[in-house]
Amino acid sequence: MLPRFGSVFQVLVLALFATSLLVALEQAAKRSRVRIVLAASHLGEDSRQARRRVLGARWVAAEEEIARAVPVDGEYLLVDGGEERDGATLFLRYQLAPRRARFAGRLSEVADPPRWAASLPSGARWVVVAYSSRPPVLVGRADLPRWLEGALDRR
Amino acid sequence: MIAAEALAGLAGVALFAAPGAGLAELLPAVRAFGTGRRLAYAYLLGVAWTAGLLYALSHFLAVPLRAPAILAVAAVPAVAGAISWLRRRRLRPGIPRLRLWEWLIVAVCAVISLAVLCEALTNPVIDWDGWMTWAAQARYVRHEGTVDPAVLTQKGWYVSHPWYPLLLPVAMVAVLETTRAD
Repeated sequence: MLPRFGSVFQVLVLALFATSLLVALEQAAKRSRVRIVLAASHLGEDSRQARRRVLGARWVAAEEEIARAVPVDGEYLLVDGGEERDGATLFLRYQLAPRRARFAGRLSEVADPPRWAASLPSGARWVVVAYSSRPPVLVGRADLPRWLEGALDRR
Repeated sequence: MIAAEALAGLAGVALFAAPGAGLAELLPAVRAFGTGRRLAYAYLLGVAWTAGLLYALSHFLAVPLRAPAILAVAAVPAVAGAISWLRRRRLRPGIPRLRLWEWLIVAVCAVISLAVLCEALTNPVIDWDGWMTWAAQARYVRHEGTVDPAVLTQKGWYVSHPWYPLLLPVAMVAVLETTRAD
């Protein structure tokens, strides 16, 4: 009884596995086609051009400007100009690495710009503000209170 | 993608496949597998060997994670495996004939693998976990040439999951350093 039950069970498992493969095959074929066609259409494109295509020319230009200003082994304060769930700071931190970041907080938390700016950790000359829907902004440490007031007015 | 960048990416694959093939040759249990399974094991063994040994060398002996160390680590099992293969002088088994349905499976796997390769060669890193954790850490590790960079060992730096195992970042550093890619 048990061996027969075992073989029926094995056939059932095999049938389910084969069915799931067949169901997934169409989706896998579609995705594979899209990826291969996309690669063929971008032959000859270098990595910088690919970044501009995927991230946007304005975003890449802003990020490159920040990367030129902050030395490779330097540090900066990173401010989140959006919502935490958007992960804008995580993404920008990756793009600017190996420059080291200290997280300064969120623009939405700023009520008193001069006091908030004065409370930030010392050391870094630069403050970088990350947004999820627009290019990042580089602000000199000394200009931060004035920049924050302007940003709050625009909010 | 341009040809030079694509070739550099494929050289990165070889950086793990070569030592892995050597290890697969040296390990009787893996050597007994058919070509396909042996290749799969070889790649994984190559990643584990290269990244694992580089991590240990960097962390315990302060060996810089630069091309000479990376190539030496990869060369050891590759050369040992080649010597073993030459010395065994085994009777090469004939390649088994695949049946039609086996060829179909091979074809499906090949197309899907080609698509993944195309994706890697066409788009920059845009995966959330990569940005947040291993790709960012790989950049810090590569810049300082050590698995103990300042952002992971000092307090106060903005880094996600500083305790995350560094094997994948070290594997990325190995490829980026040897191919001199960004």
